[in-house]
Amino acid sequence: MASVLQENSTNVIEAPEPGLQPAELIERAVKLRGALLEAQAAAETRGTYSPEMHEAFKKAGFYRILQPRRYGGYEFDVPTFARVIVEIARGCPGSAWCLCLASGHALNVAQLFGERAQAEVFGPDGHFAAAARALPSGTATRAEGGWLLEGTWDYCSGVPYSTHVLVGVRLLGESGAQPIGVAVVPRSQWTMLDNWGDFIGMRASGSNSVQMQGAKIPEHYLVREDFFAPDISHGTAGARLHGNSMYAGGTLGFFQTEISSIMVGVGYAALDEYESIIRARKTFGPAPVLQYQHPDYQRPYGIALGKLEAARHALLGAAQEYMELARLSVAGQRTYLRSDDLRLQSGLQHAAQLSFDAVDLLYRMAATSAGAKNGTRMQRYFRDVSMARTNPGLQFDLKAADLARQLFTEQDQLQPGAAS
Amino acid sequence: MARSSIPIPELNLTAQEMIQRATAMRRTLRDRQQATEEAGRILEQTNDEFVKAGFYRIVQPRRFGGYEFDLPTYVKVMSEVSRGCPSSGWVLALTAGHPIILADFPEHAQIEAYGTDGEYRCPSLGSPIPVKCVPGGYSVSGFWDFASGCDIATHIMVSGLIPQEGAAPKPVLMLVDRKDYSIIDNWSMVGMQGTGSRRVVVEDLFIPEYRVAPLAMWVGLSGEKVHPNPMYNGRKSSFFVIEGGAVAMGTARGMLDLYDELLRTKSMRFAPKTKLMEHHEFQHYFGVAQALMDNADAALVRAAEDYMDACTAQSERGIEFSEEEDRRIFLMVQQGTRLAFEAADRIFTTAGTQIAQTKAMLGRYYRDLAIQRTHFTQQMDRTAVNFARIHFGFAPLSPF
Repeated sequence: MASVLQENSTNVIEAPEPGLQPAELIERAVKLRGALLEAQAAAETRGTYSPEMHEAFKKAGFYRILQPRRYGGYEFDVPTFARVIVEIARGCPGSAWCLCLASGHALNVAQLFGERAQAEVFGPDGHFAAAARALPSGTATRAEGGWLLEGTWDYCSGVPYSTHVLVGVRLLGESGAQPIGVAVVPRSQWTMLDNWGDFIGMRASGSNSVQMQGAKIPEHYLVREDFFAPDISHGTAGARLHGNSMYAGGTLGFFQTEISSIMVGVGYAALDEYESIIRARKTFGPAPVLQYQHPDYQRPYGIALGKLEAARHALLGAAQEYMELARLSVAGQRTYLRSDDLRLQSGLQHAAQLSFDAVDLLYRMAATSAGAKNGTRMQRYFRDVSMARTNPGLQFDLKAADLARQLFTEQDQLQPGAAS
Repeated sequence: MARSSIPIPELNLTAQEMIQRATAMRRTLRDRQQATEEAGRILEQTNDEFVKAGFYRIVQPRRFGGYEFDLPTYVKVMSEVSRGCPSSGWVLALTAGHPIILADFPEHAQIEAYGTDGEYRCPSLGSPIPVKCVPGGYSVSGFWDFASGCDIATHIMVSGLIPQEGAAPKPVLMLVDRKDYSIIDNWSMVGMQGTGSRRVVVEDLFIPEYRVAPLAMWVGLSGEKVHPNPMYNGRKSSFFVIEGGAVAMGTARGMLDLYDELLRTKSMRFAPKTKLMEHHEFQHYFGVAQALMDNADAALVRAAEDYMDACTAQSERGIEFSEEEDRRIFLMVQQGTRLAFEAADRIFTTAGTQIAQTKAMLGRYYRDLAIQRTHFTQQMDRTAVNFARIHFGFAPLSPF
């Protein structure tokens, strides 16, 4: 074992702060919340966070949380990543969406691609950020020494500050039942379209489209995998390269962890805002008191906090279970099944749903002028959540039957006699 | 009692015919939604058509040139209009309903309000401000926000607090003519932008004593009983929430209309790329949304009927229209609108991200409903507690 580690550490890029601990990283996110709150309106108008905020995120190490140590990352675990994103979202949900979906996919690169591609895309200084769009919205065609890519990928959240994108592609002229793949494409090969912002919310998420016209990538920048369901049945090359089973889990559970972290953070942001509203406003009718002293306003606070606590625990529990399932799978003790991935996703969808319920309640309880008028934070959170809820990944009832079917199918395969 | 000779524009117009007019207008109203939103107020053209259709006279006393239809008719017309355009529907509902509030005023004020032609469109405004007592009436200076319909109004009813010797000030409504108030544009919202619910300002205005009525929504007193029709002499809180409720129903119903169209035309993004309407999940969504909406509508119409019954029982059998009954009806409407909100949420979240675009119509309905659900009459938790307190003999904690 030691020899593998030693061999693997020969071409290490040093992380900026080799001794950085997860707790310190989370603390940095908490400390940035004030600045994020202040910058919310400007971030919305801009469509993403500011270049200064990007530098602050970079300096704090947020882009390197899940990136392999070998390539300049901190290689912390998925729960740490989720906790950082919750804190950022509590400061600005849209900015968190943008950061999360630009920084999280280091995990997928480390998981899906070979050593050569990883050394190139993470290098030379280890700064890497990549929006991802898994739905195969464009094509890849064989060309001299590599692939030519064409297409437009919409909703590439996190793209404004991305060094690369990860995109699903249909492979033209290739055999197989479903010739699709995942490509990692450097920024020089694509254009970010100026088409983001005209939506009800999450306007700071930088979800522009990415266009490729004759984009050229080398052979090893494309892998023949379904981004939604890569083959992890025998571990992954990335997990072996980095000696870390985190890089051998399913993608649905991880993608949903990204989104649900943001959603849990929005809930706490709305709770903070609700508290400041009820501390400042008086009750309606004769004998007014400050709202925070009245049970009608205390009750929603308590209910919302309870829902958010449940959501936070569900989020961190699922993130931890992702780590555990991947560990057992790599250790050969228990395969990380497709149903495991769907199961994680479904629990995480309900975590987000709890947060939606909390935001709904708080939004409704805040007065029209404090919560619904343009420029108020509560209105922004409500709009952000409204936007997020249209995300197909969050529609638990659309996926619920898939989960059940997958589980039943796997059970029947394990016990063929039982399915008569 | 002095009879007025204001002519009724269409003597034989039936309630059914008026509902059909509202239904026929829906498509046109939908086409004008974006223009209405951009204008930040009800369009003149729309208002003219509402006037011509007789909508503002729907519950206006026949004596004063109105049709004096019942409350269920009012609810259906307002819902149908809101189904086409929630902002226009809101302005209509919260002005056209207010002959019932004006009924609390002295007869003299009503005769002045309806004038010679019966043109009366009047928002009523909460958040009372202190007024000064002067000989023969009151002197008023101040402003009120959220004046829905202030652009097309003939009058407004503003709320004030009359100082009382050694007691809490008395909340009242005061009738103000259009020429006596100005409008300040401070309406900038995520939805319902087309209502133009802006600030109205009054400066050093004299209000004669006869243009003042108790703020019945707060204090539960009925007013002058000028009209024999019991509908005009009930409590006003539950009436007020019925007005907003009718708009909420129409707004959510408008979403269901669009969802129906969407499911027929849009395809699944993943294989097999069937039409959404062919997909089991979307069939389930649609069925549930339909059921939620139908129950919501049924609850509101029933609430309007209960309101009429409570008024009638009071006038004809001497059974008090109690505060408890008022809150019960109030609560029933709130629960009904929650069903409509739930239907709207299900529709919005399953219709695809494209409909969250700023100019998408389904997204606009959703934004409109998002504003409506913050309305102070929609705070069901508060009303639930107050209803229970009254029921068990405790004083309510607040007026709604």
